[in-house]
Amino acid sequence: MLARCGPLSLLGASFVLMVGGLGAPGPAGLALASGVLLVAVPLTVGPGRFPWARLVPGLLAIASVAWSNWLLASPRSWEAAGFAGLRIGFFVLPGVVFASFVDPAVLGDHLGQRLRLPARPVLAAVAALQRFERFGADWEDLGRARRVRGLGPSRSPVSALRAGAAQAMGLLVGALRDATDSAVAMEARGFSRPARTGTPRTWAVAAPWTRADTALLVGCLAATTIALAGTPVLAALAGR
Amino acid sequence: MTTDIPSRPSALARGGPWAWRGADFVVAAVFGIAMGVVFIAWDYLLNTPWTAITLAFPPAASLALGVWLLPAIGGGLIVRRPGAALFVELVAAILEYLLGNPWGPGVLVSGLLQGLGVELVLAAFRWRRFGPAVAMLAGAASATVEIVVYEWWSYAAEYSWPWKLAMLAFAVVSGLAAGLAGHALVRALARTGALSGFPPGAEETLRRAGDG
Amino acid sequence: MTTGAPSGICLRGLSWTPLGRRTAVLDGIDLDIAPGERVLVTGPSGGGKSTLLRALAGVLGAVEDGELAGTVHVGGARPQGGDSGLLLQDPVAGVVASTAGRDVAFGLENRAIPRGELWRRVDESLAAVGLDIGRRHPSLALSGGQSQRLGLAGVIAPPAGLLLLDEPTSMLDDDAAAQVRAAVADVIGGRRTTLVVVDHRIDGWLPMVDRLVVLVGGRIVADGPASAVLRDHAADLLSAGVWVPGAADPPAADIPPDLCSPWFAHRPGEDLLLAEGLTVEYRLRSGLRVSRTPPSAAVAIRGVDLRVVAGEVHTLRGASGAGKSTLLAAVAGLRRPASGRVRALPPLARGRAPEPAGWSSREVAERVGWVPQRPGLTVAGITCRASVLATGHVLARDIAGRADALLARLGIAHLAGRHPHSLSGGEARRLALATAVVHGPDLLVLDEPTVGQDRATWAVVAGIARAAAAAGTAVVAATHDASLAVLADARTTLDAGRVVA
Repeated sequence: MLARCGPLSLLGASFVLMVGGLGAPGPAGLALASGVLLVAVPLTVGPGRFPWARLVPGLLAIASVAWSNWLLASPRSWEAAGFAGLRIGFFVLPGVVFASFVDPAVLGDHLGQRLRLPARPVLAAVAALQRFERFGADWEDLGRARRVRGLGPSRSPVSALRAGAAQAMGLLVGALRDATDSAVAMEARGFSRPARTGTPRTWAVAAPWTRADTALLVGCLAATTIALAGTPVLAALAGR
Repeated sequence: MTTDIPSRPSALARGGPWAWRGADFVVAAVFGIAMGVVFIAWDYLLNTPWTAITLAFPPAASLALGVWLLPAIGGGLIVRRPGAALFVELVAAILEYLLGNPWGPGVLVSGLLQGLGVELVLAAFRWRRFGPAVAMLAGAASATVEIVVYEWWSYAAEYSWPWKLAMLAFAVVSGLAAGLAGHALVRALARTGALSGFPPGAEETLRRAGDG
Repeated sequence: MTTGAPSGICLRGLSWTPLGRRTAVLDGIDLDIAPGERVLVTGPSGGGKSTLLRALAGVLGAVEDGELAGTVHVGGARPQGGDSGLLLQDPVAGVVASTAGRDVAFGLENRAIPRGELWRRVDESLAAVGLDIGRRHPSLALSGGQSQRLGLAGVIAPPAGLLLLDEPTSMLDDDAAAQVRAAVADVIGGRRTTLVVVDHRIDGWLPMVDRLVVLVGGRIVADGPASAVLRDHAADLLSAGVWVPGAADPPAADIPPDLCSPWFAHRPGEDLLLAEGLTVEYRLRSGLRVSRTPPSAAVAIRGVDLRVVAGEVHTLRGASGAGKSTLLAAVAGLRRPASGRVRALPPLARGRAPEPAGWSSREVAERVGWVPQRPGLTVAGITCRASVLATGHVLARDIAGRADALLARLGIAHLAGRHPHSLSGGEARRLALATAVVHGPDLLVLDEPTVGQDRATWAVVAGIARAAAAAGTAVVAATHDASLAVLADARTTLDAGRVVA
């Protein structure tokens, strides 16, 4: 299902969960909502569509948040620390999954047409995101060039670090030079014309809002509602 | 080598600060992506050892915050127009967001706040001063906004107040360092000729003409 | 598709001096071009041709700072970016979108063309340049010739009265260049579009143009009907370095061999390195990609044998994508073979392991000089001179004198203090050649060394290759340039990764 969602619902849903996680008044409702997400999100992914290793940094972050919120709290409380970790995990883990379904070109179309953001920054960002995919090849080319010039790393880690830094600088310089050339080509194709003439540009591809978008947003709103309202409601039920 | 810089006025963006050119967007966005690559490298390679090192004393983790401020500081110093710092920081954050990171969509919020922090300082100088002192101030402001508006209430919600303040202090120190580093990075880039067409490139050209 | 009325051009006293330069790149140009006229502008490398086109396209000050004087009018108005179509040298620089269709659509979107008409024009433009790849084809998974035709499609898609081409074939092989020229001829054939082409290889364009303008040092030195200019100014053109059709290739310049000699002497004719059954594969990375379009396919080489001999110039020929660059990189120890081997023989290995891919960076640098296809890659320093000297520093070889002499021979001594990245394409390649040869490597590996050179600088580049060989260096050059291949002692032709001749 996530594959059929547009970027705005994926982003919007992430922010909705953020409100739920950071705004949750207590652990009970948040735990319940997290349970719902834990079951629902994997079902919407589709097999083989998400590299699960991308969750590792998030899991580490949750653990470190829980640990530091125990260590530095006064008084220390494992319950509060666990809650602190859960608040983060509630929006981080689904957010990382959702993000991997966002295509930069489609994101640009939606930001330009649905949110009516200024076209030039949006287009420049999209073009740069596509440039990013060439960075890997550029990095290797640069490594070859530095190797043949005798500037590659020797075996010592210090020299490896130095050579890496110099190579990174080379990559940055090359990318900025290419960007300058690219800017000339884009300007020649009328990149700044809409801004100059006041006639808004058109967009070759529409930015539709689909049922999948609505479903995702409603689902995440529901999870957030549980996270926000669950604790008082459960407490009221228990108190009756 | 750098002592004479404050006495020289900074070169200003062509056509006045508000006259964004197409090239400003294109080059700023690519700079943002390159900085985003640094974020990704940190997230996947250095984050774990860094977290392990700071386990015993978590507020010190904020010493790494400066890395996340570099795009805004560098972007502001290169383009020298309102919104440049925010734009570059957001582009870097979007790349980090798309590729997965420890904080998920949180990085977009952080990117927004960090960019705004730098914008505040550059705006206070009306986009006319871009020396090392201004860059350090921008880094400190950016770190403060990030910690006070966001991290205190999210990642450090249960910290006691002394620890929250300690975290802020470490972040500000990191922000000051990031200001210096950002300024040095922009100068180094200008020296390679990669910023011709931008104010730091013009400064470098004039400096060379003056020396030679 | 271009349907606007053709634009006339009127330049009066046009001058342009980039910030920080003392000399003008354009120096008081007066030029009138009638609507529908087809003009070829030629002249030596660095003569101001590209700058002139940028002025006509309205993008002269788009990035670079500088001082502009005089007036430019296109179709009676000051040109602005997007009014005319401008095709640049590097096809990849102009790519703005991940699919072919979106890329062609970019200019149409900026002209606020409604979606229905927009896609009709996209399809028509792709057809007009002879690309039948479809809208959804990844825009970076194209050969050089296809890529440049995609650029052309994007340039002709919006209505414009003026088409500007900036050496659009200079980075392509002969076949691909012919394809691009044919596409241009088709595109302008049916319409009355004003056309201005800039190139220093003029023969391919002559059938398409009525008029020839020669630009030297930022001034117009000849202007008139192409045949008349060629007849009356042949000597001037030749001395300005223009490749005049029908003129014999210039002889390779006479370069003193001690400027290019290897640090360790070799007996001419002795084998330095053998490639045996060499296969190199590209791994496609799927890791850190943000978009969901598939990565581009890549070429490799299969079962290649090659003998690299001291004192010989050996050329590698074959179409783009045949594997020439890969073979060069493998020979230079920059790519690991998947099977087969590259074996450095004792005179080259000098006690090190025979596989170049296993050498340390320093060991590679001692033995190999490389001019990559993108000459900016080997830059290492903030001035041209510092960059040329960097490897000598690492190897503790005193080469300052050689460096200055080489830069002078290559006509870039006056640029020694400039940023290496601020050079023109032809200059950057000559700098890369100086960089590769200056520290006296045993093996000189050149990837398209003559691209972007005028007659005069071509002769020096060819002369350096010959002089290096004469001094005992083994020279291997991948080239599309038939004139360079004529000067070779040995030739290998690749097709689809295999040796065919």
